[in-house]
Order: sequence, then structure tokens, then C-alpha cells
Amino acid sequence: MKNGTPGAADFLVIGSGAAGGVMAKELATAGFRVVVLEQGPWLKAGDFRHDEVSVAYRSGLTNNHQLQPNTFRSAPGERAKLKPAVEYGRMVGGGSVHFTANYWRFHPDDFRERSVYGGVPGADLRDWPITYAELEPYYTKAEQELGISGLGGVNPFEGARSKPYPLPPMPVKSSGVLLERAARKLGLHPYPAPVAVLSQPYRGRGACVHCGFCESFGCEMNAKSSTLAALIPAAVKTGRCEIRPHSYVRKIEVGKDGRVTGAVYFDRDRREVFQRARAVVLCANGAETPRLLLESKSNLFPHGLGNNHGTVGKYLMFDAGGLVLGLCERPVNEYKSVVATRVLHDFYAADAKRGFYGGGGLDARMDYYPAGFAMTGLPPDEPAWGAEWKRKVSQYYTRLTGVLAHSTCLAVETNSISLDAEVEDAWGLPAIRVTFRNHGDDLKTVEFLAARQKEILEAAGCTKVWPDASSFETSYSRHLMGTCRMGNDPRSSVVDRWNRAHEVANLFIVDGSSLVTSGRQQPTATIQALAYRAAEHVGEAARRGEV
Amino acid sequence: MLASVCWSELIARRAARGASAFAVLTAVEAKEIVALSNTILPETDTPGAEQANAVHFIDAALAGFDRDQVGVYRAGLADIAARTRQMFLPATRFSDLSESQRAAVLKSVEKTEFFEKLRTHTILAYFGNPEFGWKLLGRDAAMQFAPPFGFYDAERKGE
Repeated sequence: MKNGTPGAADFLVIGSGAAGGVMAKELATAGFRVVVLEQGPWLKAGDFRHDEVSVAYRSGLTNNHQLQPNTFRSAPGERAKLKPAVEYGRMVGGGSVHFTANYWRFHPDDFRERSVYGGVPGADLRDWPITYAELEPYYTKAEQELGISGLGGVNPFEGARSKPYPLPPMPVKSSGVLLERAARKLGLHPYPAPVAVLSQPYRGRGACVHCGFCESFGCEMNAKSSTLAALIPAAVKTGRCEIRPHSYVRKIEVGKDGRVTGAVYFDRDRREVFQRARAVVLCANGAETPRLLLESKSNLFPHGLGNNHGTVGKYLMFDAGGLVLGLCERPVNEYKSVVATRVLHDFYAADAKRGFYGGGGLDARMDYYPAGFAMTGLPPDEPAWGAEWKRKVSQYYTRLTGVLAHSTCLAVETNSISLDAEVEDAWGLPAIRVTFRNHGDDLKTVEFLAARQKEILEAAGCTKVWPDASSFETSYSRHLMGTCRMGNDPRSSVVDRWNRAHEVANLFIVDGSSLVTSGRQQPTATIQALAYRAAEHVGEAARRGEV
Repeated sequence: MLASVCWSELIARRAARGASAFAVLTAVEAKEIVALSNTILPETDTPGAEQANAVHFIDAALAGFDRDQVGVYRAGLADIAARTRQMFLPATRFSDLSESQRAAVLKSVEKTEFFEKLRTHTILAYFGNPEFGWKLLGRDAAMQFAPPFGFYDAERKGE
């Protein structure tokens, strides 16, 4: 086996996405030598194109299920079948490159749901070991570092903020104006969407030009604040951070003392390389992180690294919530600019009176690209092919608005990421096996919200309103949360309140897998706030010799 | 992995080479696919699948990312030929049928895997191409915009 950089890196960061990019930049800036291993390529802004076929349809920036298949089953006892279920960014910058850029903070109650609402039968609802107040300075730090556009203090349901957003909100779109009109009639409280897109030039990057290719695409203007655009250049500039693309880690190694010593990865030519490190920071996302831990078996950790209590991979939480569409009399032109410009959190909090647990945030959007729209965007009573279909798609597209729900996904022990015993990926590694079925209350929440979405679009004056059936799919997710969750008790959680693995002193896990609850989706801001907090703590601990 | 050129550019290059560009489809199969994809997306007052070179997209897909679908296509084409004979003898080829006859045959296979693939590929070829699909939908192909974006935000600005 080949050896990586001679000598050990101080920190080996696995994954360069929303969290990995933050960890790399913060640790390198603090004076540590950092090596970042990333599965995917290192693309530049000039590589990004508005090609729906290669980017959105053919997974240009995300995991390719032909090379890295996953299997899926809805319950433990079933035989898992090949079926794409998890999607994540697979490039330097990870999912922060192609994400829609909604940048919501969790609410204070999201960190103490168990205490506020009590238990939910069939779910493992828990408080976080940290509070909103403890994380607040790091939400602020993330917003300032990345350049979030928004308007604080308008959403009456949000937690306290120590600083305003660094940039003003994006200009409102027609979908946002229509949401506001409906909200006035219904007594709701919309506010300008906070987004990780620059409304004005910021720290050497230019403002958004409203091209309309945020979701699923990379930003060729560098106006979307991915870690690729906003942080990784600064990490590299320190001279202490090396980014290694095309580096697919297959095992984290452990010494006799139970401490990690580094990681073995496949390089671009599929040769195995060992990179030694004093500590490992695992930021590979809520699906790849538990997979890598489960693959990293040793005498001390026969069930996978940090998994002596069998908790790694459990409590997987998915994206939830559907899209309801509405036809308008005049052009809306939703294809321009950022996806969402207005959000409302009136239904965010759970309410026992509804008879089920959960809630959701709503935003105004119609986020179909042309081919996707032609495939599934028309209402079910319209034709699906032929001259009349062609006429209808041309009439609907520019006059559509919509409201999308982002809703609760409860933690359930049997929902998990594990290793498939039969299916392998193109590198010969066991495929991810997803076991997932929503808690019944999640589905009731989605249904409840869909009725609210319909009311809003009707109040907005839409002439026709219908749920977009394809968006209500519940067995596929781009939000991968909860599989190495944070907690004080090593028997029921994988990392402690500082994102350090309970069972391994020099292993830190920072990504969506740390989340104890799903909030109301839109996890990126929380993942990055956790990363800023962990980076500060890890750096200080390392300086004291406590890593 | 991100392709180095857009699919619409790739397809235009292949189309410029005509039938010699086909990697998977025979000339006979290509003729049937042109007729089929044109029935899904016909030329009206705006161009149809044929003008967008959907058959070249399908050939490229079957030679590349959807190579495991070649069997579905071949079985689907055989099924279409059989239905054509059954429904409209003496015609033996879908491409020989009138517009309404084509619609009737296609209607009878609407729920098949072949139809679903053919429709998906035809849509990707046409709507993935700004020159055709975006134009049809009224999506401005400019790469930068400034507010107001639509009627309602313009109206509010005037309030």
C-alpha cells in the first residue's frame, strides 16, 4: 500500500461538504496541518453548466447510483432491493454546491422537543444535549462567514439572533408576492427567505445574477455560498490544507490503544493509500459516515468503529413534505432567480390539538426545470403526450406558482443505514442498505400541511390547485440526518455534545448524522453551525493536548 | 461525473453526421423511433421531437448511460410492430401509419416500460435543449435576469 503525505496530518477530514469545508478552513486557519479526502472531483465555477440532462437528470454533481448503488427496504425483516434512496453531493464542496441554498436556523424548541411535547409512541424523540442559546453564536458565525442574505426579526416564530444577516434579502419573486397576498387574507406571517446566495458582493465574490439554476446545479458566478466557493479557497491559501479529490475512503484504522491512526482510501486510479493522522474528522454525510464506521471493523470494534453499543446508523431521518402547485392568470416566471423568496413558519411548531406530532415550514416555489416539468409537472387531468399535451405544458409553465412543505421526520430506531451483505459498489465495497418507513405522524403532518398549502394557493387567487404527486415520494431523500446522533449517553448516541465519538477520543463526527431531531428540514445551517462550534472546541482541545 | 459538453451540443454534433452517427440503432429501427417520438411530441406550430433530433439522443443514451435499456427498446419495437399488424393490416410498420392510427397504437402501450423510457428520452432530448423545450415553455434562455421577474412582483413594485 502507498503512503500518503510523509508524517502525520494533524487532522484528516473525510468529506469536504457543508461541514467538512468548515472544519478544513477553521482548523487550517487555526494553524493545524489538514488533509481533506473527498470522493468526488474538484470542479471550478467555470465547469458548471446549465445542462439539465447531465447535471439534474444524470447526477452530475451527486452520487451516481450506477457506480454506488444502494438497496432499500421499508422494514427490518424485508429483503432489501436495489433502489436509489439516498442522494448526496459528491465533489469538493459536497452538497453545499448543488443545494437550493435555503438557510433556516432551527428553532429553540427543536433542541428540546422531548421536554416540551413529551414522548411520541413508536418514535425515539429526544432533547439535544445542547440548546439553541449554545448554538446561536455559531449560527451567527456561519451566516457571517458565508454571507447569508435575509432579514432577521421579521419571522415572529424564530429564536433570538445576536446579529442581523450580513446581506439584505433577495428581491421578492411573484411566487413570494402571491404568498404574501394569501397570508394577509389568512392571517399568516411570511418573511424573506434566508438564503446562502449573495444579494450583494461579499468578501471578494460577486452578487447573484438571478439565472435561476440554484437547485441541483453549481453556481458558475460563485454567488452561491458553497464551501467550494466561500471557504475552501481560504483553507488552501493557509498553505496548511491539502484537498485530495477522487479519494474514496474505505476504512478508518485504529491502533492498539483504541485511537484512530488514519484512513485507507482508494485514489483516482483505485490504488490503496494510507494517510496517517493525529485525529480524524468524519464529515461524509448521514449515509456515508455510518457506512464508513460500519466498514471500519477491528478487534477493538468488531461491529464497526465507535459502535460497541450498536447505535451507529440508527435513527435515520429523511426529508419530508410535498409540493402543491397553483396555476395563475398572469406570468409568474418562477424559473428566474433563487428558488424561494418567502417562507412562513406559522405551522412549524407541533400542536397536540392536531392529534399527531409534527409541524412544518412552507416556502413559495415552483422548482421544476423544463424536462422535469414536462415529465411530471402537469395536473393529473391533463394529457401526458401528443399535441394537446404539448400545448398544455407551454401554457402552464410560466404561469405556475407553488408552496413546498418542509416537515418533521421523527427518529425511529429501525430506520437505518447498514451494510448490504450482497450488493457491492464499483470499488467492491458493500453497498449502503437503507431501511426506512416514516412514522405514521410524519405522514399525517404532510397531509395536514398539504391542506394548508392548498388553502394558501386558493387564497392567492390561483385558478387551479393540485398536489404534485411525484413530490410526495417518501423513500428517497437528499437530507440525510441522525445516523450518528449527538447525546450525553453513550448507550443511545454516537457523539458527545462536542461532536467527539463517545468511544474514540480522537475521532470527531460532524455532519447531518449528528442531528438528534430533523427540525423542519433545511438542515444545512444547523450542520454548519455545529461544525463551527466543533472546530473551535477541537482546536482548543488539540492545543491543550486533549485530542 | 459532470460531462464536459452539454447534451444539446453533443446531439447536434451527432445529428450533423446523420445516420452514420448511430452506434446502436439500425436505420430501420431509427425510422420507427423517429415516428414514435414524433407521436409523443409532434410538430405543431412549433417544432417536434424530430427537429430536436430525439432519435440521436436516444441512440447516444442507449450507447451510454442507458445501455442496459437496449433490450427494452428492441422488445418494445417488436411489440409495436406486432400491434401495428394486428390493428391495421396490411400495414407492417408503425412509420407507415397515419397520425390517428399511430396515436391508437401508442395509446395501447402507454403503461409499458418501453413507452415510459421512450417518453423520458424524448422529453430529455427536447426539453433539455434551450432551442426547443425552453422556447416552447416560454423560458427565456438569457443567463442573467433582473427584477421584476413576473407579473405579480412587477405589479407590487408599482403599488
